[in-house]
Amino acid sequence: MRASSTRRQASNFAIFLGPALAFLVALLVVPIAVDLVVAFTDMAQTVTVDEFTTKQFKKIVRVSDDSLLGFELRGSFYRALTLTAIFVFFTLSIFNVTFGLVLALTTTALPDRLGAFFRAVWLLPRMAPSVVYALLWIWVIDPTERGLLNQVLVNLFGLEPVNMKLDHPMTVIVLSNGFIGASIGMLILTSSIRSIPQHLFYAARADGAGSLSIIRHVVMPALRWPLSYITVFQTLALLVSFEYIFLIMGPSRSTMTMAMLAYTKTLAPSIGSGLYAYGAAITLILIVIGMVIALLLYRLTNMKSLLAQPRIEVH
Amino acid sequence: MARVDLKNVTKDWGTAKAIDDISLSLENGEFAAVLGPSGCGKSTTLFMLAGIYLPTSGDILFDGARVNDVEARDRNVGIVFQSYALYPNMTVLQNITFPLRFKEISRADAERSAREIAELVEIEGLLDRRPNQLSGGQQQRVALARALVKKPNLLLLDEPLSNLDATLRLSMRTEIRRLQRELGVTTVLVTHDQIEAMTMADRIVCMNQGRIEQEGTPEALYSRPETVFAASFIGSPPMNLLAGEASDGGIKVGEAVLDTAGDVPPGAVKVGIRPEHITVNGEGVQAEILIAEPLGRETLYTARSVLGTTRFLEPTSVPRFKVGDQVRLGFEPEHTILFDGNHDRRLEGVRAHV
Ligand SMILES: Nc1ncnc2c1ncn2[C@@H]1O[C@H](COP(=O)(O)OP(=O)(O)OP(=O)(O)O)[C@@H](O)[C@H]1O
Ligand SMILES: [Mg+2]
Repeated sequence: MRASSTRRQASNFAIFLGPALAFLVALLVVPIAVDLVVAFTDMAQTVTVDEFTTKQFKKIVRVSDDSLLGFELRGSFYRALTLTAIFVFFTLSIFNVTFGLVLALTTTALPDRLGAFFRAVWLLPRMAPSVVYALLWIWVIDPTERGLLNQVLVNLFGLEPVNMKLDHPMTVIVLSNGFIGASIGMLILTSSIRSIPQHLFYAARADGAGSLSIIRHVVMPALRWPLSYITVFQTLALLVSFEYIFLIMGPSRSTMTMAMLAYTKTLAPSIGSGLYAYGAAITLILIVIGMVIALLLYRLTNMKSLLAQPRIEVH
Repeated sequence: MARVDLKNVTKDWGTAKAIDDISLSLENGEFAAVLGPSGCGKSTTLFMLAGIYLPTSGDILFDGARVNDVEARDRNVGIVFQSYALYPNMTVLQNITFPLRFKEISRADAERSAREIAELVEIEGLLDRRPNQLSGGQQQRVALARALVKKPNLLLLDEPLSNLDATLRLSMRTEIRRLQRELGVTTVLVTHDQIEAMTMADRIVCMNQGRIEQEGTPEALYSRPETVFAASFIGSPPMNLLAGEASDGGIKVGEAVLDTAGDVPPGAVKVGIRPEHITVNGEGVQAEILIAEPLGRETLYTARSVLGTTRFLEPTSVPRFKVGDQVRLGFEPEHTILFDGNHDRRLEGVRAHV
């Protein structure tokens, strides 16, 4: 009995977890391992490894002997660290979580069809190719009078045109990433709200609760887990995301986050790329930061207790 | 405590009429049971009383004042849902005090009321638990306590006992009835269990397809059902209904002809006779036993005769007859109820007998 059940467990493990494990190794473990190795080399334009060294990290800690380039690299790194923190914090807190929650709450309170319509509108940018979405933003913030924002400011309010790209670069990337990122939170939270038993809402109303009390005492408790999930997941996603930043801002120094820096220093053609080992070192730091943040949030949001409770006991 | 009136209330979901023009009055302190099959509109009626659903037309009055436009939270109605609908993130105590948050009551007073009511429903030992740590019966008591803690004008119970086992159901029946008497609160109990309705309520409202089929005391519904539906829905095992054709010579049922008393209008009729009112081996027709089912205190038989298939009860725990036995079945005219075969309504002042 025991032996056969152990064997069955082993085969279940292979059948159910095997493909996922293989996938995990091929797509996550291998790249990280490669990154780890490259980060400790001197790989550059020639893509050859001459020595194993920690000099990529030293470049970040103190100004190296390579004079000018070393100085520049160190400055870029700390600047990127700050910009990444600002970018992730504001995009996440304002849009991905808060705005996603507001969208979920309002669209579920609307009549079904109207709610579905508004959700679809918010999903549109996700369905459009990134380039189209980026072009839209480039048009909106165009510094000349052709830009949508400036048309509104000048024609409707009689204000001076603004150059968002130059004067408020971080606002541009927070807004553009936020508008697209809010839809994930909206979808997850909407389905969570939908899965709250209807009778709980009825009970709360009969008990005397108004809309705000219902949100506070019935809806929010049911959203604890999805909100934690969105926070952790989106933090990690934003840390490494650079697609829209690159498409809208280009390799501008004003929005050079960690992910952008790693990209431009390695793969971006014709803009000082080719510093593979340096990019790998930055990526490695980014991975470590991601892991630390994930662990911290995991603790903070008490996700452990939520994950640990098995819904069905398996023997 | 309130007197409650429904006046020509209709609820149309667009796809179907869930409630079709019902009128009903409940006296202050009365315990009414709404009884009917699944989907007949019981919960809908209850939710309209609570202010959760709005009637499509018609009026709902509490103590004579129209409350159609009064929101659920201002109606002071306590409601127990079939699913109990306890707040999963709150403890039992927090669940019970929840309705008091919205009243001008201090925290200490609220907690005192909650403890009092918890004692009344005997859950004072469970106050720190969460709903998922409670059994069905305990959850049901918590839901009851939450409904009662604000001293509601009207208590609404939506099939509160359907998730409980037979023993617990029996004791909760008595307990709810005791509480209701003690507090004197006007109560509507929704159920599809006719025994629950008969034992607990002062009055039964029998519903079918969004209409009130009949209302009255449990005795009245049992002994004088107005429609074929009420006759077949109330009583367990259900009433025998023999389809026949009335003419001057009597009522022809199957191959037999029943004598009549009173003026039976010619045409299709149904003769109703309860299983416990069929006499065995007295005067009557020849029948063969098809099925014998011991029910504990009594035995239910199904038999075939010239009247068709009929069921009868015998007050013996061990079956007296076995399958294939021949018996004579008859009934007294005072136990028969005749229905118009076309409209399924009761015919007044007429009887039939073998
Ligand atoms: N929200 C709704 N939208 C559309 N139709 C509804 C809705 N709620 C109920 N109905 C319909 O109204 C009718 C009455 O439903 P109701 O829930 O009142 O039945 P019930 O008598 O309580 O049945 P049960 O004993 O199964 O609980 C049903 O035909 C149901 O399909
Ligand atoms: Mg129901």
